[in-house]
Amino acid sequence: MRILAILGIVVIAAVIALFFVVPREFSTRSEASVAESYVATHVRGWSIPAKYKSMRNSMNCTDEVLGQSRTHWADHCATCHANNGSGESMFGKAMYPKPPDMRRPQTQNQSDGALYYTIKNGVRLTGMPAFGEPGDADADSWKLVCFIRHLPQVSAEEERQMQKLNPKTPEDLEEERQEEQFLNGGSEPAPSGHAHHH
Amino acid sequence: MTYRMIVGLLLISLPAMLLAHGGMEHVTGVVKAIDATSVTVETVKHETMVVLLMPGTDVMKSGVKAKIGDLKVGDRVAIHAEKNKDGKLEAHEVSFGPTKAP
Repeated sequence: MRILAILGIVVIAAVIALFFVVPREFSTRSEASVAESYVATHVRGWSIPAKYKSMRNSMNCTDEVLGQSRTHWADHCATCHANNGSGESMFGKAMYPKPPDMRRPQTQNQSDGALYYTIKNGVRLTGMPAFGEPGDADADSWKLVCFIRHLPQVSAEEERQMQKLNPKTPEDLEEERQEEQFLNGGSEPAPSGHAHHH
Repeated sequence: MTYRMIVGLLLISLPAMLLAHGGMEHVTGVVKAIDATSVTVETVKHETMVVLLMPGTDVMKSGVKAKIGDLKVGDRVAIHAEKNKDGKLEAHEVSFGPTKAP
């Protein structure tokens, strides 16, 4: 009897899940539902060990450290999170779930250790991978925590600097060269003058 | 078995996750008209394209931040834009002016 009740609950849960998932055709263009957002934020928050939740960043977030972490962010993180942390990047906008706007309280209210734990361990079933080797003493990741705290104050000038550091394909670099040549009065720019760029 | 099905579904969805990303349009040409809300560009293939200017559009003249009022008809321009839901191009960055000293 008890097994039947459990099976019944599982079947009902599966039907409810299908009701929400199937109409969306597994598209990553949809916005996450309230239930999914709740699970993604709260349940994941509960899963972070207490040790990390109470951990403070021992890194001194000097201008030099911010400069290093800005470079690191532009090269490793901005592809999904965008240079300003908004998540409004080419990949970020099309991911499911979408990366959060890290300038907002949802991220900024997390402890230093929770942010560090997320960088080091990633988040299952999202695009967020685990970076570096396991451990509590990864200086680069603590520097990134400094930069995450700085995200709400990132200036337009900083964003321009980071754009130069964002990963580029050979096609991107060639397109940049052609545009620069055109602006400098050279001959033809990109072959069509209207290029679709991924 | 259930675990394998879940993993299978996730693997099936991965290519879609990697490919379904938006694109950025690059428009290069000569400015034919400009007003407070849009710039009209004639590309080198003589296509006429209208790009909307947004409050967050970055304007760069010779690599230095400038104002859209600095852009004139006849200037060579390179615009990075994205299509909005209506299919219209919205400018993220408008660059003009030589980037090298003469």
